[in-house]
Amino acid sequence: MAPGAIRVLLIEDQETDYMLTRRMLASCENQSFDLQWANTWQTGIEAIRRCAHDVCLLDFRIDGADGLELLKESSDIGCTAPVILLTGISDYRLDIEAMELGAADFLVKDKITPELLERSIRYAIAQSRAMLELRRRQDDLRASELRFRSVVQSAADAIILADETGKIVFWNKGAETIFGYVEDEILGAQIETLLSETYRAQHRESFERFRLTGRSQIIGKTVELQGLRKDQSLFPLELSLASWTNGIGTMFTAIIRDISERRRTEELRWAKEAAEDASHAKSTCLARMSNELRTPLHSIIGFGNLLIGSKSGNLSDQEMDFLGRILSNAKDQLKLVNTVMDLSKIEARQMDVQVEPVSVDGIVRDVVEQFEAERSSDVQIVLSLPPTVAPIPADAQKIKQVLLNIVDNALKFTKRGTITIELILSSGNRQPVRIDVTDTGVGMPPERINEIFEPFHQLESGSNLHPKGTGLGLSVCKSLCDLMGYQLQVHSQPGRGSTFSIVFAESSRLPLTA
Amino acid sequence: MRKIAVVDDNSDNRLIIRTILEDQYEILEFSSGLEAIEGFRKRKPDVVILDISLPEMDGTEILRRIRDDPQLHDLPVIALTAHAMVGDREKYLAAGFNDYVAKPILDMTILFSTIQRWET
Repeated sequence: MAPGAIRVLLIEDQETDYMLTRRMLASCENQSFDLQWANTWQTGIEAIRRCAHDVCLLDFRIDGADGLELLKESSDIGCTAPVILLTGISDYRLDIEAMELGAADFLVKDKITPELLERSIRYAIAQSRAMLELRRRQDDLRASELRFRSVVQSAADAIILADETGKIVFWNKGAETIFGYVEDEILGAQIETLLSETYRAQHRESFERFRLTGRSQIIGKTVELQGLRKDQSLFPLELSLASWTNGIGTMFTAIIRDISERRRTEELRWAKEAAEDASHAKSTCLARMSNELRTPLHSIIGFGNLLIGSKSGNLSDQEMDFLGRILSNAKDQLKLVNTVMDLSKIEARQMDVQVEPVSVDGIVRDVVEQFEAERSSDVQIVLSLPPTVAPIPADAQKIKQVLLNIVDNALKFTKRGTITIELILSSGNRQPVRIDVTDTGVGMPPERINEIFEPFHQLESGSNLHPKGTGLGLSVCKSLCDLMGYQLQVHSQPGRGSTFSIVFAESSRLPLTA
Repeated sequence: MRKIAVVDDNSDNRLIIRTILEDQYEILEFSSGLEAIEGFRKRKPDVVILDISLPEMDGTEILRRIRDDPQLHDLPVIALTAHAMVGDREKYLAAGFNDYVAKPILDMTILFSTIQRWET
């Protein structure tokens, strides 16, 4: 095949007509042709199916059958090559019918000249290419439109188009979800329908200004407004507005997002930050107060100790006694300050529990050791510790403080006798389940047991014993145990003594009263 | 004589510590962090007793500067503070202090034994 040759399929049962056509095509000077001849209906159909031609010349009468049938067949097969119908007689009706079936041209055989044929072929091909290109572009456009629609429709944001009068002309699924209107209900409505009453006047004003001056304060920006849903509920929205001009006029594109959730999150964050600030301020204030209250005591106790320890011997016995009283009171004051500060810290929720593996027996020994120097010889501290104790996850510092306070309290109310500290283990894993501190002191009636954990409640002992303190120590113990998830239980009989139990584990709880 | 530095803005506190310790140690007194660090560079003490609540630069910040200073980083520093609420001791040890003594000092022997642990 010559380069640039047009491939022509001729379906024609008359050999003479074939020869004629061949001669005519061969005589064209400006264009070469590559002619393929099918001389039966059957071979014609097969050639059309192969679709290896640029143009088809089809005889109207072939094998005694209707050539129009082959024309239909050709378009059904999807062969895109144009078909030129050849016929023996001029027939207007047939010409129209052929054109409607997609024939590119209709030529009467005895009127065909080489020039006419060549031109008809050239036009048929050019027209067919143009048609194909048009169809391709339409397909592309449709695909692009489909893509655009999918994007717009699947967006969670509302995408709304309005014309220059503010009438809604496009409404996506996101808009439906956010505002509650379906497309049919809202198309044609004014865009201000979607705004709360308070924003409508503002909207109208800025719309009018834009119409007159072409200037707007919100176009191209993101603003926050209040929206109105179909059910008349109000909600905060974020709007970004764009305007564009096409052949029809100015259009507005509004992209709207419901920011209720974001607002809620922001509000929660603000509340949390405010709470954290307040909590931090409280914590700082407590730390400062603790420091300020202790500093003068430091001087009093410090200089007092220096005088008492002085080796110059210049002070009389009475002066030494007075000094001792000053010191003793200062130390009581210090204990009180510590307790009040601890209690405040717990109540301000500034106390953290720090859990690590803890040997409770070690804590008990430490506490007892601390009291050895203070106790009078009339009181004995008895320790009952099992030989091996498994560690438990706990806050050692806090357990120690609770135990210190409980033993201190027991010493206050026991003038003469014994304080027994017993560590009870779980029989299974040998972990501590309870610490019992039992004294042989004044005890108390059952109905007053719960009162002793109230701050500033000091039980009247009814005896000559005058215990010092405010009752704050036990409040701190109770609060610390609550904080750690332990129970602080009391078991007491007036005149016989009391048992305070720190209960770590559920299984070993004692009845709360005597 | 070993040198003990006392950093405290309260002159009462400095005087108490001086009186307790001066028979056995040379006492260097400082009333602020900047003054102290400058002084340490000129004459390095054996142990530092550092108050926490100081104006301008608090004890924790002074400690950080000591630890960052190539010349001073190994100084034993004892926190002496009226911050004596539950958990404070652990907090200061975790912050990098070598030891901790709560104000007021109820028992002077505690101060001595704490210093002795750190003077090498």
